[in-house]
Amino acid sequence: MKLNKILALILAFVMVFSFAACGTDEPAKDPANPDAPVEGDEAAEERILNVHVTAAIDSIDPALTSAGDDFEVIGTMVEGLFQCDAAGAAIPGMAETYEIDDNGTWTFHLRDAKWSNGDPVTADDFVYAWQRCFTIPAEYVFLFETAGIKNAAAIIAGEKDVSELGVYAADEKTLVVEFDVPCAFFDSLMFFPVFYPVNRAFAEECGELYGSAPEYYLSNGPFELVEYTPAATEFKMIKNEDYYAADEVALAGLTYKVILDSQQAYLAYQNGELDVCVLSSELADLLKTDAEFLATESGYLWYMSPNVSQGGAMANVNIRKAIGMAFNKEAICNNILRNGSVPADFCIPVGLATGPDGKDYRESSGLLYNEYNVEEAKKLWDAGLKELGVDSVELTLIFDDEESVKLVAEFIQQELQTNLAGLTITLQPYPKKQRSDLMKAHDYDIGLCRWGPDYADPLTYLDLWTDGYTHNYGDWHSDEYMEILGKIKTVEYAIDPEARWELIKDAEQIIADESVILPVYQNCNASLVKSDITGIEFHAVGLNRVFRNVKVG
Amino acid sequence: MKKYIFKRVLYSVVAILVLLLLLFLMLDLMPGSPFNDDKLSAEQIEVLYQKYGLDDPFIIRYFRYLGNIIKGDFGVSYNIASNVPITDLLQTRVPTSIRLGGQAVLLGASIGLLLGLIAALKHNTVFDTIATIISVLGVSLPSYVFALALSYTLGYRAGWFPLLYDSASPFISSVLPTVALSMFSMANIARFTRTEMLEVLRSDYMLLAESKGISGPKLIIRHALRNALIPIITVLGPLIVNTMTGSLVIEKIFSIPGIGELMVRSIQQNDYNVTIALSFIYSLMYIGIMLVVDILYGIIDPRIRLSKEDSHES
Repeated sequence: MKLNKILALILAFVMVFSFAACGTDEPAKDPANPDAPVEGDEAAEERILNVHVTAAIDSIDPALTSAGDDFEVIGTMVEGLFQCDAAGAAIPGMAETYEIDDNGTWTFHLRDAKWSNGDPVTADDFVYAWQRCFTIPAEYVFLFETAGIKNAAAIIAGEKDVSELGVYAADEKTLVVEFDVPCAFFDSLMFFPVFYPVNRAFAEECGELYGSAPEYYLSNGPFELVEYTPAATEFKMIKNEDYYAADEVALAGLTYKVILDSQQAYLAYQNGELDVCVLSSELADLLKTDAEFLATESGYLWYMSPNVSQGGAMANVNIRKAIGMAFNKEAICNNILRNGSVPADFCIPVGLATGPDGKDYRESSGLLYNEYNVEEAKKLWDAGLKELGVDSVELTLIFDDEESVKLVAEFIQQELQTNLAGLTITLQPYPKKQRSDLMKAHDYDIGLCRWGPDYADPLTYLDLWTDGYTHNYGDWHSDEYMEILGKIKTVEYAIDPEARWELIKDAEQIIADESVILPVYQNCNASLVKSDITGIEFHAVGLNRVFRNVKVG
Repeated sequence: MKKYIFKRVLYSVVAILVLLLLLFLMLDLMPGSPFNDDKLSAEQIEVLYQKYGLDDPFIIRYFRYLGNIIKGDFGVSYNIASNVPITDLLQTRVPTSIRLGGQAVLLGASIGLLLGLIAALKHNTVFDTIATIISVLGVSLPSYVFALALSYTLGYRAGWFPLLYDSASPFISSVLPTVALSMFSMANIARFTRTEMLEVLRSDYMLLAESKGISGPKLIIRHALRNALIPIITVLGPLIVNTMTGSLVIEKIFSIPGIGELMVRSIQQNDYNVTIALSFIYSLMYIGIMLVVDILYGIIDPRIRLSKEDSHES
């Protein structure tokens, strides 16, 4: 029988190899050959970068998307008033210059840029695109309200007509933006696709088909679309020769490949079919010593939200702090997630926002809270129990029913029950949507959840804990906090970024003192990038990856 | 025969209408909505519902949808490819899945038939054992094992084939997925062929044919294989549909723009129109193939044709 088995295997291999032989007779182009020489400098000019994305793209219409990958893809083709530099700070894009008058009105002078069909990019293209976000309506239309653009809030609430939006074309190349409340980070908001221009004449002609195929899409950015179908697994762009800075674009083009299976993506990377490969956590752990390995912070912060509104144990700040300190965050990152994620002892993530001092917010704030400390946690726990007059606490931890989240929840449960005497944690997984609905209804004890930033300013997190905000899960309230946040959004602080930054630090201090959320970790993305490729800019917020300044060789 | 086919087609139409109704009902009862982004406000969701007519009563939506289908309009996708007409979305995906499935079935059926024949004719020899082991492996190992093994050996190690599907070179880049996808049908066909052939070879009419002096390929093909084919075709029908409508796993691994992966995603994301359109295509293909199988029975075995006509005339 053993002999037969071996024979069978041999037969199987002969069969498989005979197909292979048939295949190689085909005149089709040679697939990536691992032995092929690395393209030399002469070939570098013609280099097409093959980039891996892990999920299909929903849409390339700036008004129709809500996913980070979509933002990135749109951002490689279309450029807004500002673009982001390698550090994530705003630099002029379509707006060559701008001035701000005493009323806080911004006037942009657009550069002499062209759409890929030869039309000039006009101020009216911005007016059209912005108004279009309200009529569609775009999922991210709330960013117009965040930006404080005149009448945006009233239009969203249905009180005013979209034509009253505070954006006007003074002439073909001059765009005027008026504000209800000036926004201190307006420039960095502008690299979000909802604020990108859309060629009015072209888009009106395309109607609903806009963005469904290369012939229904225009770009004014570094690359233009040449091959695309909705929900495609592969689509191609080439360098846009009409781009105003085309001389600085070194790549001949980009091919995006949607690969859901991370193992296959890695093999394809090894085979030379991919130049940039996104790694799953298992692969990241295996490859973290590889020379081409790269871990970049994503803006996602995972945290536990105690339901303060419920009263009892979760309303007691000592209990909240004890729970926040009694589990080993380092172990979660290194033993469970293993993808380069970092322990979080803060409520505003690393790499989110650059302050007026030119430093990352985390660096200039320096605040850390709820650091892992079992001794301290035990003291706080005992104090909390005494205040409550009980000797045991039972809590249900709810979380998303996904493998890695579950592992983290189980670890936290075990740690807390071991370290805090009298605490019983029951685990309750839910589908994401249901978990989020329960938490929005404040119907839970403690929930493990995450928040991804909407724009590059600490306010995208601080807003979460304001009164009536949908994602203020625990319904926590503080008059002092509301007062500070009110101030942050006023005109006087919008024009005084240093003072505003100090206020933001004060607000974060309150969240820390009150342990409004119990941070767990900040997510990281692990990638492999071919060693001859440099200059891919990774960002924690907005556009995940920017390929404009990629150099080959 | 004509009457029989006409009746079958009529039943099929009714079946599809009932199926659509059931699908509509099930999707309606499913929790969640197509617009489940955390960042959408209740007002925005309301506007979107109005825009797509999802706020109308169930029965109105059903009949409106039926009316649109007759006009060839399957609606638009809600979230997989926002606002894109389903017909555009499926335009390239359905042919890709069908072509890949077709290749796999063709390969699987021919190799399977060959293996089965060898096993039956060389019954109880080492060839029989080998063929049996291959078919057991093919049936019991899931296709992704083959997909990964092939990717690693022929794709990565040998570098003969690309690991990812590329629409610019659809043949060479579909070799690995085709082979991986064909394993299951190959193994099934091989098993069935072997069993049926053994039975036929032992039958009296084979003895008669042989004693009449018929021998060699003529005996095997005209007399043995033809009789053995009937049950084989019965299993082939569903196998073709299953393979053609795409394998989620194979599509996922080789990053193939087919309909298997789309189907799963549309169900998960509540993209109702995509789910319904794909189910519709799936049912059409299934019913169509079953019809073809029924007709094939008649061609292979005149007795079936006769008895069916009899039963329908009575």
